[in-house]
Amino acid sequence: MSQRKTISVALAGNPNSGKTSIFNALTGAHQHVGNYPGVTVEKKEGVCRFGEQEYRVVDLPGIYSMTSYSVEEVVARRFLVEEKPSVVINVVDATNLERNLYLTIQLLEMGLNLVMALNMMDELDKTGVVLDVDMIGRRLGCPVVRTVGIRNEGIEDLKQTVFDAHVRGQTDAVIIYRDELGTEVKKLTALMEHLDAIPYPKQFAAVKMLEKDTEVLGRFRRMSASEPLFTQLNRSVQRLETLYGYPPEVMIGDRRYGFASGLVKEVTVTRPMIDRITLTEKIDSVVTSRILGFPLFLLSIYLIFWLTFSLGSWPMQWIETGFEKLARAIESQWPAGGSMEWLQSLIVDGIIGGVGGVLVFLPNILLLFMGISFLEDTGYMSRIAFIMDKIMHKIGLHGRSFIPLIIGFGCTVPAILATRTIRSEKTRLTTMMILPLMSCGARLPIYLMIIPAFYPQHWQAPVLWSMYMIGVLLAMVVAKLLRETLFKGEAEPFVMELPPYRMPALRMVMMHMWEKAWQYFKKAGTIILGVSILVWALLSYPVAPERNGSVSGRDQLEYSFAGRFGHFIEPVLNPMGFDWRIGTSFIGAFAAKELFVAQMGVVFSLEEAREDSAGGETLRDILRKTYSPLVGFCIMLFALVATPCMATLIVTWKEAGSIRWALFQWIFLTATGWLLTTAVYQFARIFLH
Amino acid sequence: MRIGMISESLEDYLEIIYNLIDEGNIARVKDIAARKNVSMSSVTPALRRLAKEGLIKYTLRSDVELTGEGKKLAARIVDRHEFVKHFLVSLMKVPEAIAERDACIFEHYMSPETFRRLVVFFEFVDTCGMDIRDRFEQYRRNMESTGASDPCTSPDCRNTEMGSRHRRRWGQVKTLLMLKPGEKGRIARIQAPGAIRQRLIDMGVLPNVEIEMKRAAPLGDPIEIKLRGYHLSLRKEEAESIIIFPAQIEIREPDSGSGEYYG
Repeated sequence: MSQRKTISVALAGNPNSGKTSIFNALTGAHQHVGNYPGVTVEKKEGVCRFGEQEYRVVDLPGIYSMTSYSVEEVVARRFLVEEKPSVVINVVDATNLERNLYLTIQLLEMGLNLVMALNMMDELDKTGVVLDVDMIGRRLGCPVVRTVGIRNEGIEDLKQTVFDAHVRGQTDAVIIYRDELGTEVKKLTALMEHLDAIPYPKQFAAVKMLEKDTEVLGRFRRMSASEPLFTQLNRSVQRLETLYGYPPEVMIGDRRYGFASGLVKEVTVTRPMIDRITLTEKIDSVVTSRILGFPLFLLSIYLIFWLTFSLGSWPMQWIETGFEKLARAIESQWPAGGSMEWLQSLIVDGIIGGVGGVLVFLPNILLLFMGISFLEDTGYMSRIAFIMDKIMHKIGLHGRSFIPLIIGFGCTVPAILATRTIRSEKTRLTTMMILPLMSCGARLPIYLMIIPAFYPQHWQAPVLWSMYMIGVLLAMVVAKLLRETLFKGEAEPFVMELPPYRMPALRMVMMHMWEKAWQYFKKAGTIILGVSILVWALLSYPVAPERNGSVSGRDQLEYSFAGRFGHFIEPVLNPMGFDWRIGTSFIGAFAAKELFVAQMGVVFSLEEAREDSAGGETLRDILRKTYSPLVGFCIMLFALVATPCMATLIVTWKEAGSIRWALFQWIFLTATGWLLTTAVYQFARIFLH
Repeated sequence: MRIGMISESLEDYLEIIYNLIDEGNIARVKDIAARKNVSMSSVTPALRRLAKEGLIKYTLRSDVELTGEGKKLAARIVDRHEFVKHFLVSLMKVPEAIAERDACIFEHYMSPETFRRLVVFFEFVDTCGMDIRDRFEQYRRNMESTGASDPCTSPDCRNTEMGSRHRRRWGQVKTLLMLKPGEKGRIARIQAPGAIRQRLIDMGVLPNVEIEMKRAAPLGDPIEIKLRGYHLSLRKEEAESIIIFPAQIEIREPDSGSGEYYG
């Protein structure tokens, strides 16, 4: 009756092996995307049915090996060891068999119940290479299925094979190390007999010890009677080094690759005679060339942005008018002045205003991610990293950090989502932390309100430009700083595969887009909704006493929690040259940065204060009368550096896998913003007077 | 132009010109004849030959000047002479006068390969000499396994930094970074530290594997290489830690993957 139980199945394979396409083909729309606990690595889970049987399918991160140097590898290994999936599907790129087999060998060494999905068979056929697929299975001792993930080919066969493998249970495929290496491995495994059980097969553990694997070494070090094992390990390492002249990890890598390359030779039935120059090489000789590399790269980025903002502006307007109409409809239907007026305000100002304001960006985000997923799926993203790495490496980041930083000029939220392409945890966190320093689209209304109010025409463009530059420079400094303190560690080695160019399947791009849209929707519907209501409540309560039969917006704001809090923190604001009005507006701007403008309007008793309307002109006049240009500059500086918006915080929390990082980001940037603004204000006051 | 490309006597002339200029003198036919201890009339044809090879600038009744190419070749000959002399005097305890004379012979007649190995050996003894008898066993084995390019494969050996000075001068150690686009090489060893080395191993960057340099990124760093039929990019610092076999050495069949099964 065990067939009735849910079988858990894990997908393991190299990056770019088409693992995700197999996962999508198996699970369809029944997916759940989350994070592995405590790390930034994405965890995808889905359900797949085969006859009566239900599988729980987990897509492990793409990895090349089973070491414990990268988070992905640690996460994948931990999952395989702790959750013990009944069957592991090893997705293998048939056009790059030798390199992919390196991981397969280690999976077999781990004693897993393996089924190989030999993927991208269509591409292999095009190259003219013919493989004896059955022979691969016989030599490895695990079933092999031919698949074409992006076209759903071989998926039924794969399901059947997984089912059979589950029923049959573990095979006893063994990888044997010969010669002196084998002797040393045996010496180590013999000593493990007397120790506590570890979740790995002994041979695998012994090999990992020789490879100086920190995780396995740590497990043994914690045991009390492991002394002789470590003595033997030192002896073995020394013996192998003197015998072969290489460190053991080189020997082990050589044996695995030796086995893989021998196997490939054995199973290759025919291979093309000529070593032809592939299409990928032709494209690369143009796309990454010294002369055309940069122009083409800038053009492709520009195209994606153009697509995002020009094509996205129509649906954006529809959504905007849709929410506006909805708000107006509610207002007109609702009995004004009734006892339920607060509810109307909550729905119109709080929920529609807050959630609507965030959902408006959905079309842009969808188009942007369509572009990014196109770059990623074609293989061009790796070339961008290749081109940009020199610059990014200087500030302790990776070539892949570049795309998120560019997106950050549009909106920080999708930019943080885009950091998923960065593989190293530390680099990814650093990139997330500095992203709010890229002047996003919502900062622009603030700049556009302040700059014309305080600066003469010929200074306006340079000031605007300087705001963007201050952000970029600060981001570079902060990145460098973080990489040398909190996220200290060896720079991520730039040992990156440049995968062959491939035409992305439309289905994959659409699924990717849908996935992103759904994640965004869920966020807007849950956390952003909650925080919107909270901010609304802070601004609306307690209700101010009536004056002349009504309450003005200004009075209400000053009377509200937010207004009182603004007054309360005035001593902190004063060193920056701010008064409570600016402070209160910044509290409102936490929901969305551009709200700062509206809040200032409310504070100065101006309804509908928009920088483009006549009312906006008046607001600018009032600002000019009330504050000095220095304070104007300080407002912009503080808006740029401090208090990333609510949506940013929430996405950072979700993506970094811990609220700690979101809080750190908020506190660190706000403190930096405060210090910087105070310094500018105080110094400038001394020098200007 | 390599050592041995021109005759022994021409090499001598070149060396004399180089030394004269190096000592701050002008190289006139008269001075050259005096140094070589021959008549002025026998100098002229030699100078014409050297000029024809593009190694010196020489017209009648003027001073002799070395071309860039000539300077390079002469410097190598002189260097070689000094190395052999140093080797004989410091290691073999040969009296200096004899060493000087032998060096003159060695510098012309020793094959480049023997000479190269002599340099490697000298460095090994010079820097790794603490436990010479035990280490010598390792030396012999490593000479074989690394194509006589690297006698000491221990990553923390002084030899790697100190030795590189000599060996770089003589073009002994060739790193992946020295390959030109389109050029192929075979990996001898990886010098990178722990995590990066393991990553390189996992990607199949292993001894005896054939590797092809494709190109550098538009800003010069990182670089793109091809191995085992796929493309990989590395930063220059990582590429510099990958030692390539010197081209002239024929080595045994690779243990693992010659790569490129599917082109």
